[in-house]
Amino acid sequence: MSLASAPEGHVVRPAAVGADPEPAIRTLGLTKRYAEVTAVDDLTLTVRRGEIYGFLGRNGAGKTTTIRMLLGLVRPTRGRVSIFGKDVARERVAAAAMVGSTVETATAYPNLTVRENLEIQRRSTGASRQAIDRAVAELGLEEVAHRRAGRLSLGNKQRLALARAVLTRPRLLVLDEPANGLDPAGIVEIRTLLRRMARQDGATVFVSSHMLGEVAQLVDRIGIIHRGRLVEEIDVAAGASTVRLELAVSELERATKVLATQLGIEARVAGDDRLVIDGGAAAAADVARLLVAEGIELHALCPVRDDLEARFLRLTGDAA
Amino acid sequence: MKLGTAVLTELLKLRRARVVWILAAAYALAPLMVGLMMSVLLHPALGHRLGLLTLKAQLTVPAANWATYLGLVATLSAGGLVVLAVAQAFVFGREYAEGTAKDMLALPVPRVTFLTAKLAVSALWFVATAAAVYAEALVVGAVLGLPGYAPGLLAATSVRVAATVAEVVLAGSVAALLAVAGRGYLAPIGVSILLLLIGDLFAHSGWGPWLPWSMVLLTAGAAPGAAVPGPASLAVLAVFFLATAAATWWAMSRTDVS
Repeated sequence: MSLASAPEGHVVRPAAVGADPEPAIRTLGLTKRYAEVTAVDDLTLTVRRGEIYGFLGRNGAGKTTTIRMLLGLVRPTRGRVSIFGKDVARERVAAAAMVGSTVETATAYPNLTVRENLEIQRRSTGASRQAIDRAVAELGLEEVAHRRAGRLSLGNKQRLALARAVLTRPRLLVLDEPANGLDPAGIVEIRTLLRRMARQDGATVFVSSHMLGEVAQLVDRIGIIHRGRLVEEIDVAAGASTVRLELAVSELERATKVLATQLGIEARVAGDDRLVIDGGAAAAADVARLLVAEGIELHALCPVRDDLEARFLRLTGDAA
Repeated sequence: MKLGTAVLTELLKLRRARVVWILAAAYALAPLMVGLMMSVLLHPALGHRLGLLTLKAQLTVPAANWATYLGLVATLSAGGLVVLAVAQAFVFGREYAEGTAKDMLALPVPRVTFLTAKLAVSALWFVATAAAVYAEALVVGAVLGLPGYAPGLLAATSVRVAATVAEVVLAGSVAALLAVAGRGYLAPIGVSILLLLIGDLFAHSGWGPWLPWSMVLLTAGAAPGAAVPGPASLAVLAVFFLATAAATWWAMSRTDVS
């Protein structure tokens, strides 16, 4: 299908027609240190064009610092960031021209109305005047469009921040906790809007959150960040849950060694007598046979299904 | 974004900002106070009722006439250092204090454009305020019916005030740097008041023509008898302004916005 023959409202992504293959976001060894604290530690991730990527982590995990580095607001101690191939450190303006963003708390000029705040964004980005009307309508701000931002509720301030982000119909949306302050209906509206921008306009969406349920319903892929490190990436579309194998054995060290050398399986110690093999449920029979053959007492062997929440809690250190 | 658009955008940010009017009202009190001092000298009966103020007027004001009055008004223009500091604290510092800096600096606009537009708008705001207060001062003088008016005197004072205002713009832009480095309002205002006092101290020494804040006071006539800044001093002032602007750009570009 050529670009010319694409049906109205459906964008053929450049990658699909063999154009520039650069991903929407690429970070390489991204690190940020503040004195003794390492906020982001050797973060390497790739966000593909057109996907909705959830960046999940507990409070203080390094999500906002990562976003600030993506936007050129914070200088990395080490590592690089590129947006559609544009190096943020060297070509910040060109990279920023492709991005709409919200960072942390929603802020606005309190003495200006909603429309005036959007007018500032419009002038700064070169968007059309119609873009303001569209953003106001899309974010449900019609009733408060002429109200000063300083008098808006938290939810409407958040809507205004999102309206600024989508004003130019950017190729990449970087949203930091976009559901903050929104009521449940508002969260659904925003989710629908973001999904539409990704599916119809071909926009890439990078959304950070500490709210698992909110992210899981929206994204294609999730990256879990913990203490500044990307600890796992989960393909939500391919099924977020996995099955792990938990074992209670008599000799932890020997069992780990035997499994690694003879089956090539990496087991991790999860307690005084417990081993865990992530995604190892399929090998349960082989594992049992080997351990018994080696004379290691096998007290229990249990496949455990990890849903997204359980995985998140386990990876971020709060597993039950 | 073109610079003109950036300037208009910065002007839009000042819409409905109360600080514009509060600052103008506060600065406008200065000529009224000078006018009051002239008034007690012109009307001794009024002076008796005002006690200490009359005594102060008698000690500091040699005579109640246009020459003395305009001299004092010109001196007041050096106080523009604080007025400009407040303007720059608001134009630059509010972005950090109100958390909008993270949104502004993420825009696809070179930071030098923001810097230039903000310097231009804060200077414009200050010049407009100073012009309005000078006009007010002339009206106050006329209402008081001061003796000794001469067109040449008015022209000379106007040139002196204009030169002082221009020097304030160059010397006072350090407030922008302090607002960006201090990420708020307090540092630029506090330090500018301190610099004005230091400038006053050095204005009476031989170093006055070489210290930016003292130059302003010397041009305003706040240190009678002291040397007036010459072309070399003005060159130092221009270099100081450029260095301050460069440092502000560096601070906007290189420091983390958190």
